[in-house]
Amino acid sequence: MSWELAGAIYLVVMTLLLVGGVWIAIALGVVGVVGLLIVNPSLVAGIESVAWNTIESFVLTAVPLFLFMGAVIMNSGVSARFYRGLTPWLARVPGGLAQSNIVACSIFAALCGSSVATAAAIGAIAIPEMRTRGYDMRMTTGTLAAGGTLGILIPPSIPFIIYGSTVGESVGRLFTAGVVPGVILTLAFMAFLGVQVWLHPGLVPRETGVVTWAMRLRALLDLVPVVLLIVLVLGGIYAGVMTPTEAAGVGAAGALAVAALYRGLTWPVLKRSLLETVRANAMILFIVIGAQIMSFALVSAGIPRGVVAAISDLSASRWMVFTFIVVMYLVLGCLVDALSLMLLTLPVVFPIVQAQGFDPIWFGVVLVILLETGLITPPVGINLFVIQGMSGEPLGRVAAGSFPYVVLMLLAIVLLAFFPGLALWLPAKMF
Amino acid sequence: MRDRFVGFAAALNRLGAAVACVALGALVVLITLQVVRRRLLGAPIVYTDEVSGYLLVAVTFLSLGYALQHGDHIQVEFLTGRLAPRRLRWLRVSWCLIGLGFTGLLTVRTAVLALDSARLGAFSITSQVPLAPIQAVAPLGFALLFLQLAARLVETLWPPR
Repeated sequence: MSWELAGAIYLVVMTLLLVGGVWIAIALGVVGVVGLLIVNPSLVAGIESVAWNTIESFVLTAVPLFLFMGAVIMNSGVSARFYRGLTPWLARVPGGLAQSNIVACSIFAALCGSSVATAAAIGAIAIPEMRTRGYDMRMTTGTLAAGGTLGILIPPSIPFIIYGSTVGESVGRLFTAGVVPGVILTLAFMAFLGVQVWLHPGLVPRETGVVTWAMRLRALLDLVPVVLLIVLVLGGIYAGVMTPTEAAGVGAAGALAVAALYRGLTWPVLKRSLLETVRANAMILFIVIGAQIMSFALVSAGIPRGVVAAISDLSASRWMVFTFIVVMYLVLGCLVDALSLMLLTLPVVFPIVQAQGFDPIWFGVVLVILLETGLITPPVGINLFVIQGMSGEPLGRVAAGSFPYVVLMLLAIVLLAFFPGLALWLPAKMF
Repeated sequence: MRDRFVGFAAALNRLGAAVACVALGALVVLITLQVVRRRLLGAPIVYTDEVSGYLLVAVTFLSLGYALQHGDHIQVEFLTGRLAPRRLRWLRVSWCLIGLGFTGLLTVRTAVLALDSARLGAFSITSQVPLAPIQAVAPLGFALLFLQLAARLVETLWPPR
C-alpha cells in the first residue's frame, strides 16, 4: 500500500474518532492499531513494547513531579499568599492588580509546568479581588487566560518535557531556550496592558489606598520563599547541578517544605495534591502512549518519509513551509487541546522541520508558543473555559479580552523567525 | 447488581490511585535523596534512574482508571455536546466499546510482555530485580481502566433512575 493511501486512511479514521468524541489518548492509539493492521498485522505484537518503553522513562518522571510541585503550591495557599505579596509592589504600575495577574502568572509558571494550573491558581485569587475593586472584567479575564499560557513556555514546562522526550532533544536546553522568549512575552503582555489602561483609564479603578515601604517589605515574607524555590529548581538546572528530573524532585520536596513553613501542609492538602497529580499525570502520559503507538504505525507505513520527500519535490522555500506549519497549528489549535495537538502532529511535522534545516530547540520554542495561542482561542481554548468557569463571564467576553494576547504571541513568533538567537543564545551559553 | 458492579470498579480504581500516590511519594523521596547523596556526599544511588522509571510506571498505569472515573481523560466535545440526549447516549456507548477494545488489547499484549519476562527469567540491568512483577503493573493498570470503561458502559446503558 502506498504511503499516500495509508495516510489518507489514518486521517479519515483519526478525524472520525476525534470529532466523534472518543477520548484523545484512545483515539490516537486506535488509529495506530488500525494503521498497523493495514500495513503489517504482525506489528500489532509490538505495541506492548511501545507502551512499556514510553512510560519506563527517567525523563518523563519529571512530569508528575512538576505537577505535584504546582499542586502543593496551589492547594496549600502558598500561591494566594504570593499573589497578595506581589500586589503592593505593583500597585503604582499602570494597570495595578491586572499587572499583578501577568507577573504572578509568569512567576507561578516557573513553579508548575501547566497553563491550566497557572490560570486556575491565579484566577481563583484574582477574580474575586478585582471584581470587588471594580476592574473591567473583560480585561481582567483576558490577562488571566493569556497570563496562564505562560505556564507552558516559562520553564519548567510539561510540553517541553514531552517534546524533548518525543524528538530526542535535551529537556534542559529546551527549558533554557524558553527563558528569553518567556520574559519577552511577559514584558510584551505588561506593556500592552499599560498602553490599554493609558488609552482607556476607565478599565481600572482609581487606587486610593496608600502603599508604604513598610507594607512592601512585609509583603516580601510572602514572596521570598517562593522565589527561593524557583531559584533552587531553575538555578539547579541552569548551573548544571541537577537534571530537569532531579530538579523536579527537589522542587516537589521544596514545595512541601514551603507549604509546611506557611503552615499550609495538612493531610487533606497533601491527599488532594497527590490525587490531583496522579490523575493529571495519567491523562497526559496516556496521550503520550497513544501518540507513540500512532507514531509507530506512521513510521511503519513510511508516511513521515513520504511527506518530507513530497515537500522537497514542491521546491517550496523553507519559510513558506514554516508559514504553512504555523497556520496549520493556529487552525488545529482552535480544535484540539495543546498537548494532544503536539503529539498528534510531531511524527509528521518534526521530520519536515528537520529536513528544512530548522533548529529543533528553536522549533520547540515556536511550537510551544503556537500551542499557547490554542489555549486562548475558541472553541476549545482550555484556559478560556477555566477563567469563564471561575468568573461566570460569557465565553465570548473572555475570548475577546484574550485576543490581543494571541496577536502578541504571533508577533513573538515573527520575532523568533527573524532573530532565532532569542531562543538559542542562552542554551548555547549554558550547555 | 448494576450498582454493585459500578461500586466495585470505583473501589478498585481508588485502590489503584492510592498505590499510585504512594509510588509518587516514593519518587519524590528517591530523587531528592539521589541529589543530596550525589551532590553533598559524593555517593550517588546507582539504580535511581531505573527505579524512577519503575515508579513512574506505577504512578501512571495504576491511576488510568481513576482518571477516567473523574472525567480527566480529554475528549474533543465541541461537536458532540450539541447532540440530542438519545443520540449522545449511543455515541457514549460507542466510545466505551472502542475504549474497551483498545484497552483490552493493551491489557493482553502487556500481560504477554510480563509473562515472557517471567518465562525467560529476565532481570533489570542495574538493580538486578526480576522484571516480570514490575512489568505486570502495566496490564494491571490497563485492566483497571478496562473495568472502569465497562462500568461507564453499564451506567450509560442502564442509567440510574
